[in-house]
Amino acid sequence: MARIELNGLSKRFGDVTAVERLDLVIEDGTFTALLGPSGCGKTTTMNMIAGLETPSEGELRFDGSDVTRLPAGERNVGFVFQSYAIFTHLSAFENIAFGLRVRDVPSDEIVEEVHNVARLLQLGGVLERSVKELSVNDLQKVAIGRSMVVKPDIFLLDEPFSNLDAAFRTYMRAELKRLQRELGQTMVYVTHDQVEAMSMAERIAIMNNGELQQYGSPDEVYNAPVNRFVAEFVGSLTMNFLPARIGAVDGRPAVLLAGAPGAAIELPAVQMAGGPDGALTFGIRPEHVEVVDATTGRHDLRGEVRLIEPLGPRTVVHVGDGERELRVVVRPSDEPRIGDCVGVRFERSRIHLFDDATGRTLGGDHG
Amino acid sequence: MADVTLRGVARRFGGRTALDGVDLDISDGEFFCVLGPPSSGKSTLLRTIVGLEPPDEGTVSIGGRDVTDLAPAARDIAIVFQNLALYPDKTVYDNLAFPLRQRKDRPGRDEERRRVEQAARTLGIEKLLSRRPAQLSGGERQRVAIGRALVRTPRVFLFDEPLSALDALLRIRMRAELKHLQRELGRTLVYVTNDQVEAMSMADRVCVLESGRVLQVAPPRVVYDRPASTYVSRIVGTPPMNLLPIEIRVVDGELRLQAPGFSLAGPPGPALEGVVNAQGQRLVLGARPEDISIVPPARSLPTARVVAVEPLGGEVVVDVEFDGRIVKAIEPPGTAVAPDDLVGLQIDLSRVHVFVEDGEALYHAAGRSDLTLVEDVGVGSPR
Amino acid sequence: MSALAKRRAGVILRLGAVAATLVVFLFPVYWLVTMAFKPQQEWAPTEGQIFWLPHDWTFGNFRRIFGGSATGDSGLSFLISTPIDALTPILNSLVASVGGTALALVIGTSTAYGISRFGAGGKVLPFQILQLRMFPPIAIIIPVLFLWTYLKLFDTLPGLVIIYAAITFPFVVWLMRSFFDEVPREIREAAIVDGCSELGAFRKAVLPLVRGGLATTALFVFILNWSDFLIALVLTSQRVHTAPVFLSQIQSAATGQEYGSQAALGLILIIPPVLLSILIQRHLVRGLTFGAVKR
Repeated sequence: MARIELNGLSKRFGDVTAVERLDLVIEDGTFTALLGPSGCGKTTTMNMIAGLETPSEGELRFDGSDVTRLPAGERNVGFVFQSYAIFTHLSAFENIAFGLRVRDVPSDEIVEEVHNVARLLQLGGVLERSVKELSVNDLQKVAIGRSMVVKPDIFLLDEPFSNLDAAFRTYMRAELKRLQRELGQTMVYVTHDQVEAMSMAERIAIMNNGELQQYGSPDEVYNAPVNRFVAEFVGSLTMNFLPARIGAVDGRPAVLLAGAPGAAIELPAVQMAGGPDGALTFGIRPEHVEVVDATTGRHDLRGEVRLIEPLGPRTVVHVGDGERELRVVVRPSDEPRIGDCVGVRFERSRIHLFDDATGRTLGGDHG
Repeated sequence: MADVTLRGVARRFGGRTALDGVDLDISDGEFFCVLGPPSSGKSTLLRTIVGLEPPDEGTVSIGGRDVTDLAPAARDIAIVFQNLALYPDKTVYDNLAFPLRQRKDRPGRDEERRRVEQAARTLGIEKLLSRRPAQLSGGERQRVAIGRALVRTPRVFLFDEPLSALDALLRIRMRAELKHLQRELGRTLVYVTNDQVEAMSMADRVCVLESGRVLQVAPPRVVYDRPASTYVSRIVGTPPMNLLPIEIRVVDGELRLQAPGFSLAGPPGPALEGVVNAQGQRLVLGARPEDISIVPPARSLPTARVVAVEPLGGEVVVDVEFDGRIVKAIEPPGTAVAPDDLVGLQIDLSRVHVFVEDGEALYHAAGRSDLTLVEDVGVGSPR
Repeated sequence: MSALAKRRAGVILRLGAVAATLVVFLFPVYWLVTMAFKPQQEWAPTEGQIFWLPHDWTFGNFRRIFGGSATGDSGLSFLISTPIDALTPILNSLVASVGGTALALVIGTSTAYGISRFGAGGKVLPFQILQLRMFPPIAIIIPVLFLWTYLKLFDTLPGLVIIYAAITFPFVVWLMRSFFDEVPREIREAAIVDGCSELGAFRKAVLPLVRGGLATTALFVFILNWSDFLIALVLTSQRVHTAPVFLSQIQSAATGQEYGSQAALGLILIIPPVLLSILIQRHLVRGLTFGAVKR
């Protein structure tokens, strides 16, 4: 078990900066996700923690001691790869035992340890089989078991589920989370899938272009994104963004949506900046917009229903007004029809405002 | 008219059956999704329609005409491949113009330019015409591939998992764009995918395919609300539907559904007739995660232990252990439960299903309240 | 040692290794070039003196192989037995190599496409084709000689072209097959759905994508043919001798091996492959299929 500390860690490949001065503390025993689009530097960061890449700058500490230059083999780090590196000529048992065999652990101890791991992973029945006969999700478990058996202080997983189909993925998500809780190990999980990060991790570090964007709990990154990138990346139904500016209604400060007559939203007296003439971006998640009767005057905007996407438990309705299109979540029973004219209303406490130039969230947390 | 009809289409590769007597009626102008897991035969189905894969048995007709023995080019169909298959040595313009140039009634230069530009405008790629595929982003390549299909205005479009390699944000955007596009063109579109969200959100009708067999063909809502089998019930919806084993018997003229920790009762009327007739078979009760609520434990309710809590922002998925199996419930954000808490499960009985175990559906509540919770039946008391 | 000194020592070691390798590889070239311009008395060391560079630069060796006299018009011509002319052998070499390469490419590429795209020949044929290549030419050349004599192909250019094509055919098939394997199947299918015939799909959609591979293969095959000695030695006589065979036979009664003239011809023989590789260099880039599919 270990606390991981990254101090100003950078990695450059020639002229390309993969990771730029990353400061991050991963507390002992936590499940942390490194989340970001491909090429954001998350895998490089993980490789540096594992010792597969040497940082260009900065230092890396495990439990306070400097491991920046320590070879990978001496870090006691377990690694599960995206393409589970499994020896196809060995049985499941021998695959899991491999790490112990190369460490010259006595045979009876190996048997005991492998069976422990197999029990945790619920792999009991398939241990003696050749891995060629295993199902995909058992294979994945064997891959995890292989790095688990050597009892690493830190567990690193690089998109281990990306080859699994949706149903197995959901199942493995819950399994891995249960496993981490039972072992209490520090686990770092790299993924580009925000659903995986949100559902499993206690803390999420969101990266983009080699830089840390936000580091917080799933709740924090969802409810209080620090910038537009995080706001857009997190949440399974992408946030709606509309151009807006700061103005006033009856002398009180308000956000005016561009090009929409009457679309002014009064906000509590928060410090709002904005670009020239107070331009900014208005953001709201589809699940925080309500479809209302367009005739009652309760609506913030009005538009025509352009598209309906039923997703099962909920339905996404695209409401259009000129160039603009808003996505709104409704219950299947409240589905409007294409072509209907409806009003939409924004949940006031769920509105996010972003600076157009920097993308930063304005006025702090409205939630 | 460009309706597509398949009759008894079968295709085998060596010993493996890819398509096993498929009958389909795809209507003119319909957005038709074929949903199935990997190697369920869905790509083979598409390739059979376009003519790249001759069926071993059965016929394919388009617009009422049997095209089974017709070459692909003669069928007036366009296909967008999973890996796009752009011509990398040609510019975007030449990629788009390529299908026009292969035709016998090849249009003149001006007409060609007009049609390429029109397709490019529709897809918003008119500024990219002189580039090569390698210089484009994933989304732009996607559009070029669609453009190449669009430019010769075929009667039927076929799409083979075209969005699978795009990142999540782009996928959501392309989904809506494709749907808009299809509506504008008003042409038949057959779309193959293993992503139930894509199928649900875009299709007019969904066809669920498994091991080369059609399990259900219906509008997305119907597939979701009235799945024809346990298989279908678990392929649409995430997390998948919870299935609990039940036993049935008739007590005092009343149908009893005995689950491990609770019991349901209902009148053995016509609605539940299928269930009554299935006495003696192994049955399961199906409830979608959003139809199960986590409530404080109560004597009258089945009790379960929380195993994991997955906050997803807009909702929370709670995994509970109930009778030795994991049951998933979708709760509103901010639900304050933690692992190892004991909770009560409230199942919306107007939304449950009954299936033969690993088999067909016998009953969908579909909003009706035929079933009621029976308190304290004395068997299998809550643990 | 400090880290800096260590790094410096590493750099020096690496440079040393590179230099040593260069010497080994470049020495023959150096010797060939200088030899080509040396007069006869400098060909071998005299009185222990090695001529690292020609003392008296001369084009005599070049004149000699194109029918002239090594020493110009004056003196010493009695040393030279008979006038020789390398022009015909060089032309023979060019025709046989280019012809053999073209023929092998046409047949080999079609075969490779059939194997790669349609599984032609099943699992066995591709391997059998490779097996052809496993015979050392020396093992089959004598039977071929009889065959060629019978078919009246002995000592003819068509005879050479055919045997060159046959010998390099497996090589073309295996190289081109791997290039075709890299082209996504859907490229052909897209072209067919777009309205191409099978041949049209091959010519307009697939072939342009393996242009680089085709150029590379052509270069390799040409070099193989161009530098062939054994086959031409056995299957030709005076009439269609190729340049390498001709080179080996440049000798005079008086001086034995004529190193200078041989070097001069050797230098000339380097030119066509170098020219060809420069000509097709821009096609030798790989990764042409990038952008065809999303990965």
